[in-house]
Amino acid sequence: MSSISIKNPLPKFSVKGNTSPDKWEKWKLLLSKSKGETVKSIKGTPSKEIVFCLNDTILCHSLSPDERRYSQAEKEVLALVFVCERFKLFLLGQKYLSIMAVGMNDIKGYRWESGYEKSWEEIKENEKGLGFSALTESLALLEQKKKKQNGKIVRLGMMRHLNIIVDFSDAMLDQDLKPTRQICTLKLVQKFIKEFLEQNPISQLGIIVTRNRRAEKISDLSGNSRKHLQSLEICYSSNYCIGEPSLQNSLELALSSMKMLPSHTSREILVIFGSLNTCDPGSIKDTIELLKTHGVKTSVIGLCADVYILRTLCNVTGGQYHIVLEDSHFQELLLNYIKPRSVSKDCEATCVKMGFPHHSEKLPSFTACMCHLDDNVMNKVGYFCPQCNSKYCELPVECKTCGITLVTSAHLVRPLHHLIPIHVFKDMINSPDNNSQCYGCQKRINECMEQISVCNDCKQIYCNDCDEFIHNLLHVCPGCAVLIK
Amino acid sequence: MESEKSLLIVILDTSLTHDVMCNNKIRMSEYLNAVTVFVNCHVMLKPTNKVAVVVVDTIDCQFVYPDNNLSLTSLRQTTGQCEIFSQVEYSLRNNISNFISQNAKKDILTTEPLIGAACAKSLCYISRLERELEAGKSLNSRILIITGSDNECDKYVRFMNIVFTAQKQNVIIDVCSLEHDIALLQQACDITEGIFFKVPNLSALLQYLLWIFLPDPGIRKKLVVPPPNRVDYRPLCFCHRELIDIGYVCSVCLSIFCKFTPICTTCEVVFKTPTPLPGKAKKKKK
Repeated sequence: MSSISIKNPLPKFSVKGNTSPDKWEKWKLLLSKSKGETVKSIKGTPSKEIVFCLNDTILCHSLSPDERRYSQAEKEVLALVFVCERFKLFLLGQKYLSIMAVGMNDIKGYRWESGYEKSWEEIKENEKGLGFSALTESLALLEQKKKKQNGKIVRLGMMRHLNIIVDFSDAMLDQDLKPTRQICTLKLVQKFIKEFLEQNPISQLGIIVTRNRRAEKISDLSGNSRKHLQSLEICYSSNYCIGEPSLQNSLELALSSMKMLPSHTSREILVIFGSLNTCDPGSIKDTIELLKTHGVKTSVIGLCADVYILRTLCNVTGGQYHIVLEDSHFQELLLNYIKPRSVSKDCEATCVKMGFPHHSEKLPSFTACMCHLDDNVMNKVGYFCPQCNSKYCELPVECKTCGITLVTSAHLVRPLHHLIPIHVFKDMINSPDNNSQCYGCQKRINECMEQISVCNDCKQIYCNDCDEFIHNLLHVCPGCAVLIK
Repeated sequence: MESEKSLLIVILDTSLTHDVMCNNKIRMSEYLNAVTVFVNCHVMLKPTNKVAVVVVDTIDCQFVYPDNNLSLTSLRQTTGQCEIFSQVEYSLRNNISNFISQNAKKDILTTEPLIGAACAKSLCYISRLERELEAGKSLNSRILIITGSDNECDKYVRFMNIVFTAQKQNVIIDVCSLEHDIALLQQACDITEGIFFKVPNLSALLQYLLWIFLPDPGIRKKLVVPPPNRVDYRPLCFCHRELIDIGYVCSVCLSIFCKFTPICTTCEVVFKTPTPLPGKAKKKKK
């Protein structure tokens, strides 16, 4: 968004003075970074001033040191306030101000804010007198969409490789997410890592941080959540966030670790980006093309305004671009990435050789396991690779000696509920004289619930809480488990 | 006031096998009496302790306590007995006999008790109690399965989903088996850090229950309880139903085969690479 124009949408508009309403169309608020002719004539470093021009008149507002640290979006708002104050005379009597991004109008729905604009206008009252904002409605729509998607069976990439790139530039010290962007992101990423590896035990995860114009791999691709969480600990100190991020460097680093992966696994990158700029050594467009040729899906979660290059990156590589509204929204966006993505039909399938270790009958005396060789820890129990007999204390793991993946049957079963989701329950309006009880939790249906759900297969009735619990966590319908097919 | 509540859900299998019943190892009445006493003992330990009983057989599963339909007027105070004990005893006795006589009329389709369904129901119940909990209080829940069945009782995938949910909700699953070592339930106990115990002498069932399963998991560490079994996590291959050490897994649907096959029999996807290549690729990577 390089410039803002204020125009009058109302035909009733009248101004006292010599400016006719049609000239209002030409009002432009130019932020100093734009390359309009008017700006060229003004000297000084670009980010220190905000320039307005009305026809031939040029207004200039120099930024105070505090204002200079504002993000792009905040500067735009500042400009808006400034213009309202200066042109108060012309704006009086006007009911609405429409703010338009010049130059981006060709992409419809480009700005993430458009969905939430003028949300106060959409407050409606229902019979009970409760106001429903558009926000809750759109959330309900999202929920429905989620439900529908659950019912569909698609081919999923079950063996996933995901690199998380986290921005630790000085932009992450902003306090718009509480307590700071840095701490909030770290907390949520930790939660995400735990959940991700729990739900996708045969997948692997890596963490890359970018700060001070460099990219740094702090945790290699692996399936061990404890190791990842440990390596994230160092990022908590407040002086960890320095300099500018480098998107290109971090993407290249992520790609280098994923190039060699076998073709049946999915390659994904998730970028959490807090700043509006990136410092790159070369052309980032080449990197994006490279990612595309290697089939790496790149998704971005942005913590501030919509950035053009990030959107392009997501569009080209087939990922998603989201902007965070608040911390709970952030968490929801992150947790969305836990579910395996669907893969295209022509993606190759392979038979992967795997080992299933078991405790051996006769125990050897105390030995060290392969994962703790350096720590001099000896223990008796452990899992032995069926191919080369190396010992490991934790599963799943890739055998360091022979390269085979060691898992248990439980690990293979765990992600299966993504593949075979249970059917969506049908919603029903509850009648007050209904005397039955919820099949799951034994709660009386007539107590307080407006809506109940019915399983299409076993015709059992569930309360809404149980419906949510069954679909989100349990993945088993108790009623269908009784039916014998 | 204590801030921790302890909830025990007993899943009671009434479809005892022919073997258990006929050889006079334990009679049904003895079995139910032992469980009733055990349940009452748990309630007696602390005033905040809660209990629920689910009865299960090969046809259906049902909550017998707490019972929503139980009217308090039908309960007469018996002399000197605590109110809750008589409630538990009355609803167990009544509902279990109803349950058994009801299901006796239906056709038996399998010989396996529906333990998975009962566990799923119990987890729904636990999640409801957790939702209804007052602020500042916590609920420690565990499930005790008492079963006499001998075979793998459920579909593996379904049961494992339930076990993983229990693990996530911090619900411990204990199993008291009357006769057999059941691999599936052993895995469930191992994953949720519960105890699997096979009763060696059925006439002392109550004693074993009180010894091993009455104390809370926190106290168990300080007691001498039977050591945990070694649990075998090897899968059965889909093609020959044999336990395997090294298998081939379809990357799309995660089916397990004991030999390399060109086509996955489950999802009918055609595998691209022949066997030697993936091995080589991995060596290169090293």
